[in-house]
Amino acid sequence: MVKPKVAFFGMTSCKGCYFQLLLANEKLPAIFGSIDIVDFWMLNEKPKDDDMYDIAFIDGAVSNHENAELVRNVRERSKYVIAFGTCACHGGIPAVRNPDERKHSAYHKLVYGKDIKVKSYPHADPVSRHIHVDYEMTGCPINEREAVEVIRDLLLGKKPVAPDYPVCVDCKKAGVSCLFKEGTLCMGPVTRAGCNAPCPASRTACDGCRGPLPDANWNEMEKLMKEHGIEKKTMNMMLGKYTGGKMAK
Amino acid sequence: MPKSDRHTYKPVPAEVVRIIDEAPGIKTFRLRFERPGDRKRFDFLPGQFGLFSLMGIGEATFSMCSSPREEEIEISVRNVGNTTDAMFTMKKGDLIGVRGPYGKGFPLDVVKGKDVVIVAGGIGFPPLVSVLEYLLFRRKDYGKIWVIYGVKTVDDIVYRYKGPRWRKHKDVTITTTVEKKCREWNGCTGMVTDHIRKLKINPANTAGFSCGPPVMLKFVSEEFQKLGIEPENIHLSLERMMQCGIGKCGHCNIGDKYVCRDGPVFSLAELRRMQEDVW
Amino acid sequence: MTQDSYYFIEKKDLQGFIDALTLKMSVFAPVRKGRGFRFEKLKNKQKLDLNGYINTEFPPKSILMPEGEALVRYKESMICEVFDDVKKAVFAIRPCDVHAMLLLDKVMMGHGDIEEHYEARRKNLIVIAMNCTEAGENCFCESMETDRLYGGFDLLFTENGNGYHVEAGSEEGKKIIDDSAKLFRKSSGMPAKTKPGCTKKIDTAGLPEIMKKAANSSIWEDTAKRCLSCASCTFVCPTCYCFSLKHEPDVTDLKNGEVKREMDYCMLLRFSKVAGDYVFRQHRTERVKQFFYHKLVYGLENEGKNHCVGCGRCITECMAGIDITEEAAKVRKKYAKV
Repeated sequence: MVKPKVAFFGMTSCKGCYFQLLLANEKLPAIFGSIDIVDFWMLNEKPKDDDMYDIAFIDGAVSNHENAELVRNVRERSKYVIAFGTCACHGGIPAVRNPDERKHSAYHKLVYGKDIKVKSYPHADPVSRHIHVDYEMTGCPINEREAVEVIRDLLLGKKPVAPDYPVCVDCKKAGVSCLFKEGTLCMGPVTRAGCNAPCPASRTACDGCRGPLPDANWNEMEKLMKEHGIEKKTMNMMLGKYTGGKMAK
Repeated sequence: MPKSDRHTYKPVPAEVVRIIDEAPGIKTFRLRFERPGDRKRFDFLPGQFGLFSLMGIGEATFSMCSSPREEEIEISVRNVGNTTDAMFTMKKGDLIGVRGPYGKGFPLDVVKGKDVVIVAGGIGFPPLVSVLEYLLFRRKDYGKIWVIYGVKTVDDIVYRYKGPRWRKHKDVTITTTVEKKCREWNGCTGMVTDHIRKLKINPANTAGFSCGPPVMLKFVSEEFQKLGIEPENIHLSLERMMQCGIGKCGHCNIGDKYVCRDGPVFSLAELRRMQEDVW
Repeated sequence: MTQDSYYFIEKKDLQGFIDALTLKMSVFAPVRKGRGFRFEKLKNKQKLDLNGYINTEFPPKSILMPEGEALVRYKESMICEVFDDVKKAVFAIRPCDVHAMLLLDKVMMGHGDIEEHYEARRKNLIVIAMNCTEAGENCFCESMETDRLYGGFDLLFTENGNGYHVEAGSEEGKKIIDDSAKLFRKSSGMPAKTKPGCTKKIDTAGLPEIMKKAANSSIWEDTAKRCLSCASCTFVCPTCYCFSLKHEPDVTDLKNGEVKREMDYCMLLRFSKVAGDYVFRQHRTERVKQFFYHKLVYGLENEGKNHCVGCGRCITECMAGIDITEEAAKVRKKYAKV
């Protein structure tokens, strides 16, 4: 059986999600042995001329013209495109600057000095704002098990479905005693599941790194936060560092 | 004391002996159980369903569309998800897992001697085809039969090859109606409800059967009642997410009823008593 | 039960009894974890510490329906069923949870259809129940009549003074006593059952009829506005049994794999989603309503027993503070006289 051609590309990100993939490869070479990795970001930054891909993984936010061209290029030559990592799915850390768009050049000058010309967009985007994405594998970083299961499913011809329920379900299944009930401000109820709740399992509140859950009860969450002295603005900031300042609503 | 049935979730193997391309996105699979004993155990009545599995991919629910008398069974599939997509890649000779039969079928004994109106909407046709085959085999036991089969476009029509055989029977009227007018179609147009209205029936001795999308069932049952058919004589086959097939996993419940166990065929009278919205 | 079914064991001998039991079978007992206690399999000679134990945070249903339990295994085209018939015991399970277990039996092995996977586990489970001496903050077993047992156990412990009165409820239970005969002495009977002292309650008199009147009430919409759909209630409820069958191919060899049972929750959108992505219970109100009606109305109609045993776990876990006893009271207040 011909192995599917898989390519990996990276844009504006810390590449932590790539390390998760490498970890997964270490533990489960069988899955990675079943695919033909034709392009890996560390070896080739851009697609080779005639290459066509069965599956393309794109990580990182689109924050400049180069990134935007790259994602369009990849889309044209790929059957199935996966945006992986919160940066690719929601904008992530590169998008932290989004709410201050208008101060973009001022910040740039401050950080890089006035001699380096501004090359990036005033705002960093999720990949889906530029091309159609077939699957969003979110997480900061991604959950390596999800990566393995998605590749496994694609090898079997199954289209993966991202969880449409909150982290609370993962958390209970992981046997964690609810942090929220102990007074910790956990963003679990409004965050998309799929990570197996490693942070709550280590007694750290979920901070919503996997992005907002579309059907979450935002009103109630705001109310409960307020009872703990957290204003909606603050909650926006907490979750907003992964979504470019925007919440789901 | 009725004996308890014992269940596990292990499917039995059946071989794909024929694949019929009915319409874009719809195929009929003709299956033969590998072991004859399995077909004997899979003794089904029209309206019952089975759970069909491809190991590693998943399971999907289908009502049989073939006559219960046939050695081989048939199911009609539309590719809308992972399991059905995988089924569409199957070839003759491939194996598929089968569990069942489950559920309560159409009450064909109860409506003996009556006239029967069968109304099918799109992919709701399969179980009603099984019903029709059953009625035609016992033609003398039933009165007049009307079949109203509605589809959105002319391309969606299935079982074209069965029509001629059905029409040969006495007092069987088959109306295929297409919602969207087009040049290739010379036949009836409009919704199934338009055609129910045109029927001249004796409501006291008529039963109405229907299967199709929830919205359609709602309007069809209203039309049946307008004709004077009693809710106890209107039988509808419902769709819900099914996984276990035996009323345990909870997915198919409507109020306190389980569509897989108390249905999928319910009378309108039963549906009215449901404690949750049906449609 | 006959006169020879009553025994007494001193507290100092309890550890010895459990140790002897762990040699013969897997014993699940309350173990300190997280915010309270969980039922966990005891390791050999693990010290039992029931100090402050009222009930576990998570219910014991995971012993009969473990998460990710393999039900069917396949190796290419060879498919076989999987049954777990390892002998197990659950120790110090409370009366409310035993009532819940008896209810799960009616669901999984009743209605003329026996699920053999559940049956295998159930047949091999020894139930060693323990009466409560005090109620938890959210317990309301008294009003649900689940604070006492008349059966459904192999052994029933009741704390009294420096030991436990033990009633044998089956031949299996008697045998366990006989196997540790040195630790038990015969007793003339059981002490009078005292009420645990619940502060919460549900007035169940005619409740299903009243709930039916409230079918279209705005109460459910108001409650749904508070619900986060986190499914915690359905997770910790000892009578919630809904599950999914998940195909899990082996990542090391895609031709092999398992079909697993994973618990599922009616509070989630995906629960009522069909092929084509249509969701029957799209609105939170519908899902919240389904939960309360299943617990207090439908269960009674289907199994002859309320699907709520008053354990109070859902009240404890709900982040929004939704309380089933308050909901029932709201409904009664608004619809009882109409």
